[in-house]
Amino acid sequence: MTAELLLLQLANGLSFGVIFALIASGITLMWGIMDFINMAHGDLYMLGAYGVWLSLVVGVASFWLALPLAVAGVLAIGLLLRFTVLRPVFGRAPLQTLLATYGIGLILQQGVLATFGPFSKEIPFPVTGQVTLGPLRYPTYRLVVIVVGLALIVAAWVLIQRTTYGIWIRAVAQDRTMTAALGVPVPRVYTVVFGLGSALAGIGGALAAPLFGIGPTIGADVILLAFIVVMIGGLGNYVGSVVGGVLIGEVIALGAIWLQPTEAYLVALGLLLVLLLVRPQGLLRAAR
Amino acid sequence: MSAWRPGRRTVLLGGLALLAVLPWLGGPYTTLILTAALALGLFALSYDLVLGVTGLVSVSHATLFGVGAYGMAIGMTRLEAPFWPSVLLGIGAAAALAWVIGFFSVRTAGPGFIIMTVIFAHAVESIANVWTGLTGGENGIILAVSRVALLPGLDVRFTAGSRSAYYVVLACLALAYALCHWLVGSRLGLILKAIKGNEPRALALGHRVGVYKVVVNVIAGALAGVGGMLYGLSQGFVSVDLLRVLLSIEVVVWTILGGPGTLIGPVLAAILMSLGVDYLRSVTHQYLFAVGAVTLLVVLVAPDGVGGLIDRLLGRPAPAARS
Repeated sequence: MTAELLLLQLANGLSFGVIFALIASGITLMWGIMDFINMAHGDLYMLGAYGVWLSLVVGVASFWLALPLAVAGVLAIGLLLRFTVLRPVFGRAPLQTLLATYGIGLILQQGVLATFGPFSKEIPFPVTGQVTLGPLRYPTYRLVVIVVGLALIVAAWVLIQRTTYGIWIRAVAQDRTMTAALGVPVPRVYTVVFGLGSALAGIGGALAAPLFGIGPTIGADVILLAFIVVMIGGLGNYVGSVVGGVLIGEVIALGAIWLQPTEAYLVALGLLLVLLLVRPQGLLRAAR
Repeated sequence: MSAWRPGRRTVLLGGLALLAVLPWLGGPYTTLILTAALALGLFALSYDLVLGVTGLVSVSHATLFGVGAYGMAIGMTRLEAPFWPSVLLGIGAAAALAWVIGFFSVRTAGPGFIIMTVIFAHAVESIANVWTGLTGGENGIILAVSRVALLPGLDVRFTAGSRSAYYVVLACLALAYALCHWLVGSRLGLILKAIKGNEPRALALGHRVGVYKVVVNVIAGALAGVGGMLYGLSQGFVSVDLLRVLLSIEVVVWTILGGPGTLIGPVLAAILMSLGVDYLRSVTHQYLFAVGAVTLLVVLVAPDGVGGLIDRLLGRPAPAARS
């Protein structure tokens, strides 16, 4: 193994990690703010990937046009769910949100399977070529994923930290009843959080589509790693989920040098178990 | 309301008698399906100890069901061990995994437990899918047993659709029910109910809540493993389908619909609903739509189970949806 390979995998790990962070941050936000376990989150990611593919198939000229279309589609589906079947579920016990969202995820998966078939789709890289980073020649698209993903993660963080909605969101996370009593429209906060989480998952899926391929079960495949990331970062901790995402991305990428993908997953799981032994509350302090 | 209400024992014996005559009403295929449904009933019974009695939300119960079945199957085929040691291997594997899952999951606070069980369930499913040399993947492991010597002088035919297999599973279900019923009434059962009722108070009373949660997961896991073995034996093979997250979710749905903590309710719900899914699977490839829809509808329409739904329809006050 050369130092170059190690460097390349470290950089790849960062691109994996950004995608994991995009998914995990939505899960952790939904939990931290409204006690909502979203088992369909991986399927929103899957829809993001299919959205890009479908846009390109029906004749959208460029990936960079298809990406916002796909994200808008996932956001629309997420909001539709929030205002229809999920509306009575918000505020219920974790078991109820878990079952409802699992049911929805299963229906989404089967719907995609029935509509587009079981075979995986591929889309070409929107930008080809490589850039030279010091000693490393790195695929341009992966660099784009890292930059775009990180920018969106930071943008979402600014939204939570700096805007009025952000203040409301954090207030609801701390004390829902008190916040509602102070006149904050809690249902609208739920809408914003659910929409934000759905959009982040959709972006993750859309960005990952050229890298990982597209199939009905890619959401179910990624949800395991996403939950591991969420637990490592501390359930409900936004920054933790980003740090955890990058960490697990590196584990998977470095593991890929020596291991099969599933074995690398197990290393990620092992990391979580060790962490639980030494720091049961997660890497960073959990939100509550 | 009529004045005569049958006692619990009468209902149970009546139900048992009904189950005993059922295989004589149809052919081998009916018996095969009924046997599977009973094994799933035993599986749901074991889960009721976790969710219904202790109020613990675990999404890895099918993992234990499947690992128990695989433990036995691997013992019998890959290791060429005799029947009973293979069974012990299955129970041991399920109980050991239940301990591992419980040990790590109780270390996290509140909903972390649920998510940890989700993680373990997905992880085991991924391993089983990939490690086909051990598990046989989608095709599974074929159990080439036609005759099993349960005890000296008591041979059971485990060919597909045999009535003797049906009765063995029925007897195991009845025994397991008796065991669970005794357990719920025992001192351990009282502590488990205290954990469900008010966990901080149970802690304050000096009960080691974390230990009890692991213990109930191990007991229920071993029982689920037995269910998995019976399922595998009656079907003649063990496949990855037995340990899918989907089945873990289904057992939660059965337990909620049947009435958590009632023991008999989840068993009935499991038997009826697995028969329903079997029927759907035979008429359409899209049966998973229905499974997803039922999972969603349970939350929307009957979060307190069938009993709660009937109460609500009759205008009786129902307890708010909890746990």
